[in-house]
Amino acid sequence: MNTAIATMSVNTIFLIILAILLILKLIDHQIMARSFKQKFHSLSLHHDLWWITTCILWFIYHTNHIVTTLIFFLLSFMILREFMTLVYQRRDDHYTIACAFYIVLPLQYYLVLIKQYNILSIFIPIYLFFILPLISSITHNQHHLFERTAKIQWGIMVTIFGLSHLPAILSLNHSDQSNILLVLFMLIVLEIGNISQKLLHSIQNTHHLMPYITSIIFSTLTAALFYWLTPFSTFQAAIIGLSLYLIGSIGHHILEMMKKEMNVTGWGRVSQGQHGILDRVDKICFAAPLLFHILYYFSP
Amino acid sequence: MSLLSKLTAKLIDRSLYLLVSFLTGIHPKRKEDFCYPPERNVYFANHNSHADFVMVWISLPKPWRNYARPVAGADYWLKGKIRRFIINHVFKGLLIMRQGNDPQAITQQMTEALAKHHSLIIFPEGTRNTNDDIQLLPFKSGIYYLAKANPDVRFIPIWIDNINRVLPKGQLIPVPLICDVHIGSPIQLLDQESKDDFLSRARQALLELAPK
Repeated sequence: MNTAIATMSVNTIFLIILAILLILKLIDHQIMARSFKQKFHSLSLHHDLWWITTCILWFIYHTNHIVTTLIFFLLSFMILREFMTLVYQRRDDHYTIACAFYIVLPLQYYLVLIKQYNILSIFIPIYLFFILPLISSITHNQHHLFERTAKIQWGIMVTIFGLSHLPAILSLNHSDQSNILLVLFMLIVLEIGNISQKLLHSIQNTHHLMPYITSIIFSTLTAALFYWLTPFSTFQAAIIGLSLYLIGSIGHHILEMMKKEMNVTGWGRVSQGQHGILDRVDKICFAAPLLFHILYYFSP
Repeated sequence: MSLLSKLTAKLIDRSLYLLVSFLTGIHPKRKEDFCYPPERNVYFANHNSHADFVMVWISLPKPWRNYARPVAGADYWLKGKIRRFIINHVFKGLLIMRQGNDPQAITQQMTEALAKHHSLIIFPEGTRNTNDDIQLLPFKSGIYYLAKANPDVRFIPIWIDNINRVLPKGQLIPVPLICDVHIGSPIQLLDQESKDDFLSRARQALLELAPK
């Protein structure tokens, strides 16, 4: 066990984060000049989200496995609803989508609840994948059958399968250290990468690849810096952080392309294309399974 | 009304709200968005599903909801004890005879309700639009006669979006999908406005709320 962790309890870490957020908010309100604020408008928008995330994580730390699973079950439900609202085009999909909401979603989180890790990681990618076209063809309309099924399978993979790995990570007993810190580690790495990319997008005009490369370097450095939140060494933490950020960004990019295809700017309300919850958690949905597998197979 | 039926009505009201809100993500609008009093309004909306008036009902903030009464067909709602209880005690609906009765009597009934300072929820298409390719059916003339009998009443267009997918015709299980309710600004019958002009103006006001 780390010395840094030993002297610092999980509660203290959360208090420090809240203190940092408070300072950021004060800076944002008082000192920052208007022009500067306008430049980084997208950053101040995320403030509320950081507060909410920190508070939810802190709450999860103090609660049990059942409540944790329930919280992520509800979150999954909300992003699945956002996804399906945009994907639902034909009435023939009605049964398939109903099946996603009323059978797949509860079943996957039930597997999380009873900690059946092996089945939960193959149920949706293999078994559901095999039978979903059958459910879609229940209306005997085979028009665009595989296209429709593929879209729904994708939505289920991202919103149910991906996110359900987060409560699974929290329930893994790999060491005496609380896994909440690992989740915190993942969120910090993803968010720092995200911010650095956005900052560079607004400043740099040199090369379009520059923000991506810088954000990759930044997130890797952050991961190395915050290695003490994980049971891994500095070098291992850096590699893990890098891969989490890469897969998160790839996922984010894929969902951006999907939105483009559907002619919306966000997964929010149907008509306005507002930002939804899925816009905020898409990276987590992709990174969580990877973190789970790293812990499950390579935990020290 | 006895205490028990009052409590039951309240319970049904809350559970319907929770169910519809869970399925569609609809919440009451903010009071600040309503620049007119809750009394003597006629809300007119597009009609796609059985849940439509519940959607309008939920979107209205509390004081506006207290005055609002959905206009519903007596032939459907008076069948069976539960339906009758829900329409009379939960929604305080205004029941009209759709078949065989003369239209003037219906207008008269609605005018009386408006005179009591109630507001009404109506669906001027007359019937549910179950065709995906038609956005909005032509309006029946009832809304014009209602406006003529009550020229001072505000007519407020309300567009309900996406609800037809939550529970399409012929499906048994509703699917949770995000819906939207857009409330427009009130229109009134103008002096010397003809029936066709008013009907097309009202229809246009509703269509303008529909997302592109």
